[in-house]
Amino acid sequence: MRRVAVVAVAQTTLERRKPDLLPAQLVYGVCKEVVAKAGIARSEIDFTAAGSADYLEGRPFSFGQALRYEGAWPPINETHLEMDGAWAAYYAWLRILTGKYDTALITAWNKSSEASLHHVLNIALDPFYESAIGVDPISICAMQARAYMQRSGVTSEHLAKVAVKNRGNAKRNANAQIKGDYTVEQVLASPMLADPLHLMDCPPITDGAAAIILAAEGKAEQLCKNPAWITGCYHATDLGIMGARDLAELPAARTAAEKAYAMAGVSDPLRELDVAEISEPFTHHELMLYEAFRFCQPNEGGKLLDSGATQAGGELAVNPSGGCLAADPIMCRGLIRLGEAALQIMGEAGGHQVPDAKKALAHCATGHGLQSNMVWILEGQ
Amino acid sequence: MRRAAVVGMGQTKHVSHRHDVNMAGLVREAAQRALADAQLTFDDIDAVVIGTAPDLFEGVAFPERWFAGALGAYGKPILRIHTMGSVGGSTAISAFYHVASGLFDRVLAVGFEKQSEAQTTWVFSAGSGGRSFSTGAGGAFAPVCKFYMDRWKVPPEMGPRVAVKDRNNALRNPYAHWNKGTVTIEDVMASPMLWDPFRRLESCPTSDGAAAMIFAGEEIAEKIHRKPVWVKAASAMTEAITMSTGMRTVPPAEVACAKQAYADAGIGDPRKDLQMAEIYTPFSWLEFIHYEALGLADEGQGWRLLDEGVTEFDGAFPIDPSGGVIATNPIGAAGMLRMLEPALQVRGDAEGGHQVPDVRQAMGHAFGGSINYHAIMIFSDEKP
Repeated sequence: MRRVAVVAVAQTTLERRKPDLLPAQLVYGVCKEVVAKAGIARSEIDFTAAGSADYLEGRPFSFGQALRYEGAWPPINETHLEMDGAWAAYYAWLRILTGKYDTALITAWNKSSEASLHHVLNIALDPFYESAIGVDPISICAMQARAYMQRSGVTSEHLAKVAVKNRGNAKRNANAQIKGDYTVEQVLASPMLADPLHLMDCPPITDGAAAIILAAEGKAEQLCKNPAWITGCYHATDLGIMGARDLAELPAARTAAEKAYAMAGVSDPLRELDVAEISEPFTHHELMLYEAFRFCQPNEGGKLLDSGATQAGGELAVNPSGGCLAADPIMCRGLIRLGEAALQIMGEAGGHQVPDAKKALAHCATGHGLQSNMVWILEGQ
Repeated sequence: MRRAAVVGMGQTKHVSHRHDVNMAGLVREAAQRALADAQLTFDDIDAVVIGTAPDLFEGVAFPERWFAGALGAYGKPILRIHTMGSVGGSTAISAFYHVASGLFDRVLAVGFEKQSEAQTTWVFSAGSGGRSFSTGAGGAFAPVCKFYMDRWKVPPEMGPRVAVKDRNNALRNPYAHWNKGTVTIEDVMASPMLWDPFRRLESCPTSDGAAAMIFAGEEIAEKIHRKPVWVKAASAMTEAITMSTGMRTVPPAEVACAKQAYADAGIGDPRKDLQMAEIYTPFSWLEFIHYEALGLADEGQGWRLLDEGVTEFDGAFPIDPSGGVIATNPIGAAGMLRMLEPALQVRGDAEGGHQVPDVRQAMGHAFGGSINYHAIMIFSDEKP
């Protein structure tokens, strides 16, 4: 497999509302910044991939508006995916693996503030049996949290501790939206949105954009002092029919991790990885993912959290950036996790840098109750 | 780059309303036909790539999440492409690059549209040209074609002649949507004007349909199918649509896309090195712009190819023998059909009498948006 690395990362500040910019305009700043960071001419980038969603922008073909901000003149080799930007990065990685391309720019954006996530994500369900009953991410994830708690013995206090940890970490991330010294009591006292999920167990609604540049060996070293080399990556989907799934399990996340571990030669992730940036839009997801990624034994997600191992200074820092609970622009959720993991390897994560991070995991997820999952393993030299 | 070939193809019979299946059933039908063609099962597939035009056409957001199971994607990677009308082409290209990367051996690409689920002209009108121009798709392309006619002083019957060629070709294709019998210039001229210069019979229909292609790596392609169809080029180019570059008819991205594809496939003169092409012509006059952008004719001369009969079914370089998009338009599938049909022609398996004799190398082209998204593949019976 050809060696490919993340060589530059950019993201906007992540905010509840960015009223001064159109959705596509969010792309301009991050594309300009990431190209400048890599010190490459825009015209030298071989392939461009973009991720966004028409429904969030309320119009079809919305991404056409972003082309001028991506630098699509003269014409560029480009593909748009109706997915989180992490999947655009994945496609760009495949293109570079062919040997035909050496560099790629990936971008993703969304302004959830202009849409109703309740409605848009409700119609992302089976239109006959599931959409019609009015469920949305919060109600589906509440059922999932309950099923997981029932199976594992994890408590509401464990869930609240995830929110406290990640939003505490976010204090050191200048781009994060929700941050501060919260307590378990505050989380449990926040309004119950759908039992067992309180307001503070849920992700914020976020506007934002992100971009990264990938480059192949030979080029990567020229563009970045400490490239974050991709040593493993896989993604897998679960079924989209909620009633056909065991919501207490995340088999697609497990498959993605095991395949990525096998590619990268990771056998004991808790010991071998230094940092993980994972997609935990709801608090219970982080604990379920500890299990799916073999950071702990089944049903021991709460115990691992209690041990402090996943705190910023712990054995395996999980979401030092604050994760999705601190900011969740849904079309760049995964691309931001990949970018954050790369920044850790590059030693450029600023206030939330994990000292001496050599091996990182990035996890990207889309769909109800973490339906589709992607895992990347990144390493330094 | 690892070599890859098409080893399975399938499509549904395209019609205006498929009342008997939902979207999941529609895509599964095409996928199962491609699997049957390759004598594979869903278990043999390593990854799935799906393409469809805006979700607003059917009213389900990210529909691939819903029907991932119907495409046998449980526990596997599934990727969703959306490059406007070119999406079916971009989806086939993505599946090809999955195999070319060396990570996957057998990849299923599916494109679909179920236009009967919504009023797509209304959705188009809310599209990239602005929220309230009420132009529909035809309205977006009419000014460019008017400009083409005026600039090159083209006889006014040339647009209708594209419709005659494509609709009559479609009668040879058992999967085509159009099946209402032979059409004459007079019939086209007499059909109502929808978006001047496009009359009703010069405009694509709204169709329900799906298409599927299976790509496999070199070492196994020959074991899967008696006649793998090799991919010699898979090229995609996009341009920003808001540049003030003056009036023009030939889109620079299409020129660049073709140039890249010909270079990759080692093609000097496409008229000599290819035997036929399927190109994306949803509205009659666009056909000539493509002839010129794809290097099949000089600028301003494209219409003469049809006038001289070159691109007719029995001409020297048949274009859209399947009937093309004017006859069949399930959007996400229409782009993929532009790739599937030339691959079928190379294999010699175009059914119902639309096989062109002796096709060894052929091209597929799809475009999207304001003629600013392009996808081209070149297929051959020879390994690249």
